[in-house]
Amino acid sequence: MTDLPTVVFVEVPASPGSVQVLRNVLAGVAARLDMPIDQIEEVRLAVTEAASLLLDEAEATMLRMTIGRDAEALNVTLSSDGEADPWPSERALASWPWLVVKGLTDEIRADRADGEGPSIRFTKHHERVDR
Amino acid sequence: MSSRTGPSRPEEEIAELFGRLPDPSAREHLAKEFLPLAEYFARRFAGRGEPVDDLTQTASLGLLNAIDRFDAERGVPFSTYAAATIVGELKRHFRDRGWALRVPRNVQETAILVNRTVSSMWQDLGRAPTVAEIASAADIGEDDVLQALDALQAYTTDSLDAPTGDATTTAAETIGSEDRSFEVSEEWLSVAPALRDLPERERTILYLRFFEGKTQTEIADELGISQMHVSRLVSQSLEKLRKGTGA
Repeated sequence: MTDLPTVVFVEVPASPGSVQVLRNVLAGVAARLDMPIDQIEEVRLAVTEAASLLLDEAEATMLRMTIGRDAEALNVTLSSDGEADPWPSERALASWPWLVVKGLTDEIRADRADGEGPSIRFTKHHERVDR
Repeated sequence: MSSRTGPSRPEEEIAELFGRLPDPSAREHLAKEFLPLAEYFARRFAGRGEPVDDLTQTASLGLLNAIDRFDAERGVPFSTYAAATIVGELKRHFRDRGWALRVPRNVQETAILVNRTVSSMWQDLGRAPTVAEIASAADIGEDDVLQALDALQAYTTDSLDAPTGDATTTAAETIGSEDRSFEVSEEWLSVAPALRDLPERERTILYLRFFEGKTQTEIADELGISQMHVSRLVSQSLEKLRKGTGA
């Protein structure tokens, strides 16, 4: 699939309902990368858990998702405009959502978006279907 | 017509139609031919709180499944086979009643088609198929496949995974008491209380997935269930936990 931009950027209101939008956008991108459906489901779950962790950690009005991709991997950065201090908190790192994202993806990092709101970045390598 | 629900065409013609499958027009003719059978069973299941239209829809799906799976070589008349399949579908409808989301009917139909396609492809390929592969095998659009997969994740399989009954058993105890040589990790113990209310099988799957790092396929093999089912159970149990913790 060649008609896919290298980076996809989505911003939605910070509500549980709009997490569904993020899930679907991510699933759409993953599908176009020819990721097998079990991996698509895993990134969908990962973004859902990451979003619920961010929303739980700090009150926010916006959630932003950036999906970058290269030949080997899908890189997803999810951030909110909330004020989380400290970030990542010990509570966040010991939370179930964090463990789940960690378990579902190949790399996970807690960061700050442009030095501001809390962000979670994860990477999922895609196994090529023609391997 | 030999009976109220029997076909109006002669048997040879029916056999000829089956011979032409998977030709879509033959399939359609057969579906029309046996529709009264589906309607008959739908009516028999009416009056139990489900709209007759929904039941007819379910029965018709059962009929289509029967048409697709019927093997004349086995020597069972189609109407017998179809009746069993239709009744099975209706019973499942009552048992599994309710999609977690309100799923439009055409999506449900597509979901059933996609579910079937995925199961057979997963087996043939030895890995999960891609959306493009499913779309081309089922002859539907990629967006339809994505939508169907989404709907399938929402489809409740709770009835197949009833709780163990002993509500006081903690997740950690259950895992520990199973005949597995689990090294119960500290991480697991710290989250175990949150998993207490999940059915045992879902806990086991979460353990295998997140603490032993097993893939969905490995878990499916280990538990003797389909990969789709594992995927669904993982999604479902995570969903329950999110709701449970209010996060």
